[in-house]
Amino acid sequence: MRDELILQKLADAVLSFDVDVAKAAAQEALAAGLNPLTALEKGLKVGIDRVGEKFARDELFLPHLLMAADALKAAVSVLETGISRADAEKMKLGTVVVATVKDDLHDVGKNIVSALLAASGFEVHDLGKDVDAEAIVDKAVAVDADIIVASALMTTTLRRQRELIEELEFKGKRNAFWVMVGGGPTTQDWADTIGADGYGKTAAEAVQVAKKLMARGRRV
Amino acid sequence: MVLSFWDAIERCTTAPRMDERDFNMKIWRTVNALAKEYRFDYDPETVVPTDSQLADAVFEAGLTAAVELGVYSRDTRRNVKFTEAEIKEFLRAATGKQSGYGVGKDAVDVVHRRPGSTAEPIVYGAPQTAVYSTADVAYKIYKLSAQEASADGIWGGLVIGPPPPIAGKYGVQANHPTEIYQYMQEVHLMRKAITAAGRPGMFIKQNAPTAQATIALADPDVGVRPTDPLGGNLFEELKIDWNFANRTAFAIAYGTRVRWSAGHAFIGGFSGGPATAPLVIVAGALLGLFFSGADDAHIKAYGLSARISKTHNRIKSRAAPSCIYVGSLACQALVRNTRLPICAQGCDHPVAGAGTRQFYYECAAGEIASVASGSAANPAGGARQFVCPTDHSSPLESKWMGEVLKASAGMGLETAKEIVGALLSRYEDKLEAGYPEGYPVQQIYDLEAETVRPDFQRFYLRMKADLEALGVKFKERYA
Repeated sequence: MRDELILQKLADAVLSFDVDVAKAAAQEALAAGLNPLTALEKGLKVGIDRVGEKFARDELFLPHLLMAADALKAAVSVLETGISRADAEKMKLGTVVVATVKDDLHDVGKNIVSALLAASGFEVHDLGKDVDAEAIVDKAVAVDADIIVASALMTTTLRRQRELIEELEFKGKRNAFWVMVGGGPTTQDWADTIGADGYGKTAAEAVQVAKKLMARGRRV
Repeated sequence: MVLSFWDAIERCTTAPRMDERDFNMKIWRTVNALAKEYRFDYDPETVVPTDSQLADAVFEAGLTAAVELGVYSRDTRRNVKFTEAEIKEFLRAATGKQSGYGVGKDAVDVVHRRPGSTAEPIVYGAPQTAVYSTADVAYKIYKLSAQEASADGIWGGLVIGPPPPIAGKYGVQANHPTEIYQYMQEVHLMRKAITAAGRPGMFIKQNAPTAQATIALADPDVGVRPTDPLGGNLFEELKIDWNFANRTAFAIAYGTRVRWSAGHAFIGGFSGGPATAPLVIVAGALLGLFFSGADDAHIKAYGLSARISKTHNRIKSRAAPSCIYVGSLACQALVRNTRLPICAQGCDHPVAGAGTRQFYYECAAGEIASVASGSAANPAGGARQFVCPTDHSSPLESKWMGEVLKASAGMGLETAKEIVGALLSRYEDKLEAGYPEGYPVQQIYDLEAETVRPDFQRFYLRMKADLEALGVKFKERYA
C-alpha cells in the first residue's frame, strides 16, 4: 500500500510538472527501499504516459512536455543515486542527438519530438535549428549517442538529411548511430532512399520508432 | 512618430540576453496567465466565435502580452521589448488601407475590413508554395490562375522535377547556388505568365528560403518589382532573425511599397491551445510592426498591413476546428481594434489533395471563416502542407478559393458559423487519417488546350451548387 502511494506520488509529480515534488517523491521511494527501476516503470512512466495521451488529445501542449520532462529528469537523478551505474544506465532509454538540419530555421516540430523523447526517458541533446552535419556528428560522438534525429521542414533542405548520413560515412561512424529523419516533406520512401534507419510521421510515432531501434540495441 | 526599423534592429543588439528556451516558456506562462485572468476558454463547438466582447478582450490581452513578452532576437539571443506607447504609435499611423500592390490597371488596394464588411478581400491566386515537375507545368498553372477574374495577384511555387530542374540533373537546395538560380527562374516564369494572361501589372508574391535568394528575385523588368510584396516577417512565435530582417532591409532600400507585420502561432506549441494561441497572433502582429520597415512617410503614402497565420502542431490542415477558431478570433480582435488591414490565411493548406470534395470543403470552411472575421487579403490556391506531391495542385482549386473568398464578403459571423459548421461535419473526421490524396493537374486539366477536363468541370459546378445550398452566394462576375 505504501509503495503504491509513493508510485502514485511519482506519477502525479510528473503530471503536475513539479520538479520539487518529483525529487521529494523519488527520495521517499529510496527511503522506503523501493526498487528505483520499479519507481521509474510503475511511477514516473505512468505519469509520462498520461502526459503523452493528453498531448495527443490537445489537452496539453509543448510547454507541458518540457516541464514533464524536467520533472522526470529530476526524479531520475535522485533515483540513480540509489543504484549501481549499470542499473542507472538501464533507467535511460537511450541517448539521442536531435537537430533541425542546416539552412532550415523551422524548429517547432523538432522541439515537440525532442520534448516527447525526453519525457519518454531518453537523454536528449537538442542542438537547435540550422545545424550542419558535422556539428551533429561531433555531438553524437561526444555524448556517445545511440540515435541521431534530423528534422527538415522544407523540400529545399531535405538533402541535408542525406548529407548527415554521408558525413557519418565519411567519418567512419555510420554504424555507430541509428539515424532517424522526420519533418514535413520527409517520407518513409525518402528515409529508405538515403539509408536512414527510421522515420516518424508524427512526433509520437518518432518516439515509438526510437524505442524500437533501442530495443535492437546499438547499431553495431 | 513610429519607431524606425533601424531602432528596432539596434535594440536587438542591446537588449538583455535570454536563452531561447526561457523565452519560449515565458510565452506560454504569459499567455496562459492572461487567459486565466480573462477567463478565455475554447469550446470546440464554437468554431467561428461571434462574441465581439471576447474579440476585444483578446486584443487587450494580446497587447498586454506584446508588451510583457517583446520579441526574441535569435541571432543576438536577446529579448527585445517595446512599450505600449510605441505600439500604439504604429496603430495611430495606420491608415486603414494599403496601396501599392501591382501596377497600372492591374493594381489593387488592400482595405481594412471588419466582420461582415461588404468590401471584397484581395485574392492571391495560384497554389501557394506548390511544387511542379517542369517549367511548362508551372507556367501554365500561373497563367491559368492569373486569368481567373477572382485573382488579384499570384503566389509562386517551385519547379523541383522530376527530372531535376537544373540541367535536368540537379535539384534545388536552400542556401546553395541552385536556390538563387531556380527561384529566379520561377519568378521570371511568373512574370511571363501574368503577361500572357493579359494582366502584366498584377502583383506577384514569391519568396525563397534564404534572404539572399529572395533578394535576388528583385528585378523591375523580369522579377519582383517594388510593387510586389517582398517583406520580412516575425518568424514562428514572436521570433525575429536576420534571415527575415535582411529581407526587410532590402525592401526598404529597393522601395518595396507593401510593408507588413506578421503574427503566427503554433497551436500545441509554446502558443498553447486554442484559448491562448490568438493572443500570440495578436502580439506577433503588433510587435511585427517594428520590423515591417515602414516609417511615417511610408505609411502615409502606402499604408501598412499585418499578416496572421496559425499552424496546428499535429493536424496538417489549416481548416482544423481549432485552427479556424484561432484564426477567426485573432482576426476579429485585430480588425475591431486597429485600422490595419489584416491579411489572414483561411485554409491555404488543406490536408486533402486537389480535385477532391474534402479539399474543397476544407478550403471553403477556412476562407469563409476568415473573410467573415474581417480578413482583407487571402491566399487562394491551396496546396497540401509539406507533403504535396509534385503537380498535385491546379488553377481550378485557386479559382474555387477565389470565388469563395469574393462570395464571402458581406457575410456575417452568425451565417459563417452555420456554414462552416456544416462544412466541418463533412471532413472533420478525416483530418488526421483517411483523407484523399487527390489528383495531379494533368488529370484535372488538359494543359495543352488550357482547359479543365469535363469531369472536373462538372465536379466544380456540383461543388458550387453544394455551397450555394448552404447559403453561399457566388458572384457571376467571377464564375
